[in-house]
Amino acid sequence: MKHAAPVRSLEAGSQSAFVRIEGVTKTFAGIKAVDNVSIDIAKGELFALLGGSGCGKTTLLRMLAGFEVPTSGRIIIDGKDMTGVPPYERPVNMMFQSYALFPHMTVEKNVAYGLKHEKMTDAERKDRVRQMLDLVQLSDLGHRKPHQLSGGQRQRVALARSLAKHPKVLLLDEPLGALDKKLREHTQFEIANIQYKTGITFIVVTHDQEEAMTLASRIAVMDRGVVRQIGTATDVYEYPNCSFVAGFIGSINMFDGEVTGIEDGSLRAIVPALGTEVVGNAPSGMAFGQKVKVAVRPEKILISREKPSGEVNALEGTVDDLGYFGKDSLYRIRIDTGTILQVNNVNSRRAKENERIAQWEDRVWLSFEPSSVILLRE
Amino acid sequence: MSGRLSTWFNRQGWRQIVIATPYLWLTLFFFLPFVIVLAISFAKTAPTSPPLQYRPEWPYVFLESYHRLFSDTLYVRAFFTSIYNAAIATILCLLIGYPMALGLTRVSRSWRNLLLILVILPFWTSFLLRVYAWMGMLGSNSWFNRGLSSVWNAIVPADWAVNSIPMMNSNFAVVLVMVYSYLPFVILPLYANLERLDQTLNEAAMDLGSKPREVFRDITLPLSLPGIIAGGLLVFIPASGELVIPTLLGNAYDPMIGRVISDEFSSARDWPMAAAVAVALLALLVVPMMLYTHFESRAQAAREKS
Repeated sequence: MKHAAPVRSLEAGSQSAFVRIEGVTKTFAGIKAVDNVSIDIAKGELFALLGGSGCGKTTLLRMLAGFEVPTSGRIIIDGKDMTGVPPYERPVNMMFQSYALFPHMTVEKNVAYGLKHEKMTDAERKDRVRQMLDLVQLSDLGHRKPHQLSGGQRQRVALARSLAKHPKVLLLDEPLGALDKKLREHTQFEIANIQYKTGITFIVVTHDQEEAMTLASRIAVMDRGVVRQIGTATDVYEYPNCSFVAGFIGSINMFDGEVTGIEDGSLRAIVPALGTEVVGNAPSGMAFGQKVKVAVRPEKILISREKPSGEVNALEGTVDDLGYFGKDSLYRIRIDTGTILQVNNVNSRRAKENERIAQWEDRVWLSFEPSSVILLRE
Repeated sequence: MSGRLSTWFNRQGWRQIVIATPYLWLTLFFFLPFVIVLAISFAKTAPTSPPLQYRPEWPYVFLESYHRLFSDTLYVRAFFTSIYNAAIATILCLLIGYPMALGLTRVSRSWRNLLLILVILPFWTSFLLRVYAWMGMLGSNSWFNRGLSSVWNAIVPADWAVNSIPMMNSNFAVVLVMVYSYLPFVILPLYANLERLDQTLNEAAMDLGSKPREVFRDITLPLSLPGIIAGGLLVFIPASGELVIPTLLGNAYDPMIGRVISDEFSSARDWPMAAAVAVALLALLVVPMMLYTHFESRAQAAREKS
């Protein structure tokens, strides 16, 4: 599914950065919409800015396009400082969330619009328009007006128009936001495919974590104007660096705890909500007595009728609720302290309703590997 | 509740009445009077009451009035003056009103409301009063005229000096006051049109390499064409039949058509001639009117589709 270019982890300040956001802050009426953000993006990367509404991701994108001017900090694209460069002179194009197709122009004219500023012959221009329409599979609809197209077709025209000038960087603002679920999945694949074919650096803004994870080679998770974590989909899901990222990406069981012992790379923490100690792999820099967040993803927890063989990370509880989703089931288990844990169980075996692993009110055992435990500093 | 109300509404035939009312109104107060005017235009003036008579034998009508419409240069000239003045006024209104309407869409909400009120404010005083105010200002002895004259005298050589600038009783005064009076009619439809335009279209055009001037030319201007046409016609149509302004400010040798109709009816008591001029004016104005409805319905259809 993923055709993204080779993932390169970039340290801030490394020389290979193609798009460099350097300590950018944007203040609106005294409120920091973007707060000292630094991100380096490599050439050919499909990078996602992920966050809830109001986290500053769209403001950051608009600063890259040149519609907003950073209050402080600077943006460098392909070695050139973009400070003071107006939108119409940047080597950057944007696909707008609303698509912003020109209603009085045909599809062809829309796609050709950006090309009239390029030094090229009419034939070359026509060629380019045809290439772009081929790329998004709309060659037959060149003479239609935008209002004669479906939502998905308009989205593709917008993509073709923003790609026509062969920008160095393509900015996509919630590219799938206005599409229905089926079309989303298809288009997601198509965007990744086009990115792979053209090799253009894509920066996608999205609030949809699934979209970010399937599309992007790297993700920056943003919250209230600040970048919380930058990493691959695996990094931010399996190895979140703070409780915000852990809670924002996917679902998670997260509790307060306190370190009670560290030995041989393993760490014990007492978790009052679970009424027991949890054992996990010790991250660096943890100390005895330190307050920690202890978190486990629902699918990392095993559910069983008998007491598990391992000595650690085992809990007993009652099935409070369960939901069947086909490929997996979600169990809500009330353990004896009254805390409810979410457990995802993959339905790897075909079974009737009365044959499933546990029913309402059943007593069950839960267990998880120490390596599955996410330990975060408060 | 609303369901019951609508059932009652439909059963009682109210819907038909509501739909029929404007048509009835137009028939009574527009179509019938027009038929009467049309009928009068085919008569001949006579010392009777009403002052007209029809031909006693077949075809019962006189075509003298229409014949005079083309043979007497007064009427052709009056038509030309009317169209000319109205056209100049319309173009000036658009040139002045468009930036104002565009400006209204670019300021903050609170400023916008204030400025909109200022645009409409002149309607709160009598139209006639405002025209009289202009008469006072343009007259040779007014402070306004004297001020302008002294500025003129200060910058030109001594032998070009004037006592006053002759502004009253000229086409210049007519056009000036028409522009002043009709400006809101151009600003309001243009504002309504421009305000609906999606600002992200401008950003998209700019993102694709267009400078602000090019964005205006390629995006804003073509998309505001319905507003330009609506505003233009709202000025052009009443301006070409304008009576008050040319009567009070215009010169008597170059009358506009409204004044000709008025003079024929009242001073000359030539009802058939006045009626013929009125019919001709209507015919002349129906063309832009039809253009207007055509563009409006096309814009409407486009809006509904998108």
